[in-house]
Amino acid sequence: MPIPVEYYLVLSAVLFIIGAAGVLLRRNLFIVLFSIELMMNAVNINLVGFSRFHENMTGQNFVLFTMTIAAAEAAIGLAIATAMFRNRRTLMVDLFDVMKG
Amino acid sequence: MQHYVWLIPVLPFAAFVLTLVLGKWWIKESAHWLPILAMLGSFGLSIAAFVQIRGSQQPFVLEVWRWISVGKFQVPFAFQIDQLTAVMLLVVTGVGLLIFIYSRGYMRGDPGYYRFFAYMSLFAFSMLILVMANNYLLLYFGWEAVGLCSYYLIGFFYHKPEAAAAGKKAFITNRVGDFGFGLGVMLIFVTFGTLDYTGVFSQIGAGGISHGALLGISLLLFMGAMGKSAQFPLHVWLPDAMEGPTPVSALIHAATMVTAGVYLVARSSPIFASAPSAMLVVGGIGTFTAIFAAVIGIAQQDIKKVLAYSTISQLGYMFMALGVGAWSAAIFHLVTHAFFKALLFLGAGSVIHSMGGEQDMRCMGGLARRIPVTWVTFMAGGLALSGIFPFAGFWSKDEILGKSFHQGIYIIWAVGLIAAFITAFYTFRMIFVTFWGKETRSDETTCKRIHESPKSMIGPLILLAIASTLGGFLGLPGSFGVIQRFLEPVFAQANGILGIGELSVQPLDIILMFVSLLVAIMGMGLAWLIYVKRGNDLPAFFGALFGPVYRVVYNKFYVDEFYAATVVRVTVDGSRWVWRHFDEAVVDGAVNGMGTLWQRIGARMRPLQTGRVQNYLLGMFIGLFVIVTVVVFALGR
Amino acid sequence: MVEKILFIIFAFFAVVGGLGTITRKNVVHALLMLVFTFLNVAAIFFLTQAYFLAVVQVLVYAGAIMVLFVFVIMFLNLRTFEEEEQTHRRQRWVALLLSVLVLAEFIVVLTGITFTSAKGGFSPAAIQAAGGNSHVLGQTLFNSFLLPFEVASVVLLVAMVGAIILVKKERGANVATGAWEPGKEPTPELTEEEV
Repeated sequence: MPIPVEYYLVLSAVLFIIGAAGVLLRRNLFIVLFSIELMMNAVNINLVGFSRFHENMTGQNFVLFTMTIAAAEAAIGLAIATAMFRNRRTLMVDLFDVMKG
Repeated sequence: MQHYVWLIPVLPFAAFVLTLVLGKWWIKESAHWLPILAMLGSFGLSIAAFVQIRGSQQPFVLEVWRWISVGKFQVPFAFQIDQLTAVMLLVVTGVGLLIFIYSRGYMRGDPGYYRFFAYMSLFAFSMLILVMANNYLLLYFGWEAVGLCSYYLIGFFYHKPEAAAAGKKAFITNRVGDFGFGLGVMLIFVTFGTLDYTGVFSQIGAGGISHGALLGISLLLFMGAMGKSAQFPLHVWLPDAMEGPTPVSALIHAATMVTAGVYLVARSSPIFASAPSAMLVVGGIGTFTAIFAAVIGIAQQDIKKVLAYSTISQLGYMFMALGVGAWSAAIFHLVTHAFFKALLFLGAGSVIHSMGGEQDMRCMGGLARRIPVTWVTFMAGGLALSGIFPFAGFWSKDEILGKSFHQGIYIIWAVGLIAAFITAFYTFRMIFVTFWGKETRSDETTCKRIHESPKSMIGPLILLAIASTLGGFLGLPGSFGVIQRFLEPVFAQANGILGIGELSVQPLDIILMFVSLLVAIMGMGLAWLIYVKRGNDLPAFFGALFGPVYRVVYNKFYVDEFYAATVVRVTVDGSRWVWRHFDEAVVDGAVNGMGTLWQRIGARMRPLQTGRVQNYLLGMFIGLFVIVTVVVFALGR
Repeated sequence: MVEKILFIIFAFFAVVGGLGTITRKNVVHALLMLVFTFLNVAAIFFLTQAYFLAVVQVLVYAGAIMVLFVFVIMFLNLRTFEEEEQTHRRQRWVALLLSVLVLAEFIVVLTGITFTSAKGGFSPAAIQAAGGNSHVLGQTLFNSFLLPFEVASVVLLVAMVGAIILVKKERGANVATGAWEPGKEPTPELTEEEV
């Protein structure tokens, strides 16, 4: 008996929302980046679940790509974090409000 | 005729365009050539038209352009030449040509030289359109255009605030009259369904038009004529119009534009003839104006103002004639008046020119010896104006008085006679004060500079003097009158309605002629007594003679002041109220309010831009929530 | 049956790890929780017979990305135990509320739909017959998805270059000294200090 696809979807939704809450609620830039990675993972779970359900390899292939992009994004994000830290000596995201108004 | 008739107004128009466009850089001091040549051409063509239309029972119509064509409302841009138009054409182009030549000398050296000639050409074009129109709307177009040119030319010396104000006053006063005129034109269309003369007059001939409509039309048209021809109470602009250059006063405010009202009534003779009450109004106002203006003219010190009031008075005579049904007499007087009034104005211009710009007669005197040609021609004009035999004014004025007597309206005849006395009086007062005596009442430098005017100015004076002397013989009474017989076909319909015929000369007429001549000589004599015999203590004499009466007359019976206190005050205060309470409060409030509204909204919305990414992400999340909710609940699961 | 139970266990731990990530005050702790989550997700991939992906998940996500994070944290020498003020009060409650609501909606919707599928040809038996998960994945990758594959590699190149440029210190660059306190002007003073 294969695992029903709804399980995957519910897990994906839960992890996604947890990640979203983390992005919105935490001040530390790293925690925000972690939460984003968590959201990406939730999407991957979704894709894999459907890949199994539809018996199609498209989902799994796509996961490869999202992982690639997630890696690239993590790298760039960290580079930006470094640059920001150099400028302000802090990584509390709500202190970066120069674009205010 | 159709091949050249359209050129008559087009030549001056072309002169206007070219002079205005090229004047500043290219033509400059030779700006007079094009307009003079254009007027010469128009004059020649007018003579040709005059010769060709003689004796013709039907007017000649030429449609140049399909101007307005909207269903039932058909108004072509078309010309009509009949005997009346031909006479007007000759007056406008002939006198106009002479005045253009005069202006060459008078306006020389003025910085706006080319502008002057451009506007004068435009005026010629407009006046020609006015008299050549074959329908009321085109006439109205010319009417307004001459008013516009009058405004331009009165305010020609625009640096002077008085000149600018005078131009405004002329235009606004005209506008009051034109309001009535416009309504009249509309009423014509409503009543007759057409605006061209032939259509309207044939319908009157056919009968069946309501008397009320005809009365209304006549009165409204006359309202326009009152404004344009400066009849009481819309006469106030003409004396102020003397701020313009003297050739302008001569052409526009003596010979042509102000006669447009007379032309209008004469042209609409069938309409007026069908409404005798309107004719009574015309005659009454004309007569009153004649004597009213003449009285004011007695007390004026400025030579041009005397002539201005004289013009108003003489126009009153023309309307007097129209009021009693003496159509050709009115036109005849129009022609002779054009001659001698233009002559007088140009002569006055010559006097002013030689006096170095002085216009007050109290500073003149003894000029007869110093500027002889001007003196002689001016005298000829004065004799013509006073109606002394055999000068032109005698014949035309006498024609009017005779006709009014024959119609049985003796009060008009009597008042006209008194006005003639006063006319002679103020005319010769003007002449004696200006020219007679041994010495000029000015300072040394001015006296030394007195000189005769250049040939370009003298030439036209001489020609006009000849016309004033001999022109009267065009209108000998009865069937001897060339001009009356010439104009007969035009007024045949009106005369038929009124039941008048051209009377032949009777012994009564000769007696009347003598009476009017006597009256004129009496006026001349009184002026001699007062101004020549008494000598040089004039200033004292003025004040002592009639005291407060004199003051009232000198101040033009305070008509201007009355208007200022009532009409002007109401309008200005009213507009100020509207400005404050509507324009500022409502309109500005709305516009500014719009701006302030968005400003405030923006100020309230600004805190949303916190600059923090987390806040923006929250916004996105809210959006996500909304979309999901909507999709789930609106579209079902 | 067994699979389902296993799935639920791993799912549970993944969720616990996720919650731990977002609630830890210590950044390193949060990082470790995230790694825990990733490992559980990899286990779930195993259960789904996506073997290649499971391995890649461990290698790339847990192995590379998280290690990168660790490096950077150490570089920056953050005070990892600092007292944090929470995000602006209002936002905290709104975000929390919204999260719960959206989650509820998602679950309601997802469990309410009946999913039908036109099965593709890749049933587990077929995959097995064709040579295993990796084999089939590779085949489809290089046949149907060749272009996205190449593009992905370009993206990686760009990211690499970009990261280097972003981090590169210019000659005489301004570097801040003390930590920035709220209220002070954020003007970094010139220093030679290495970061």
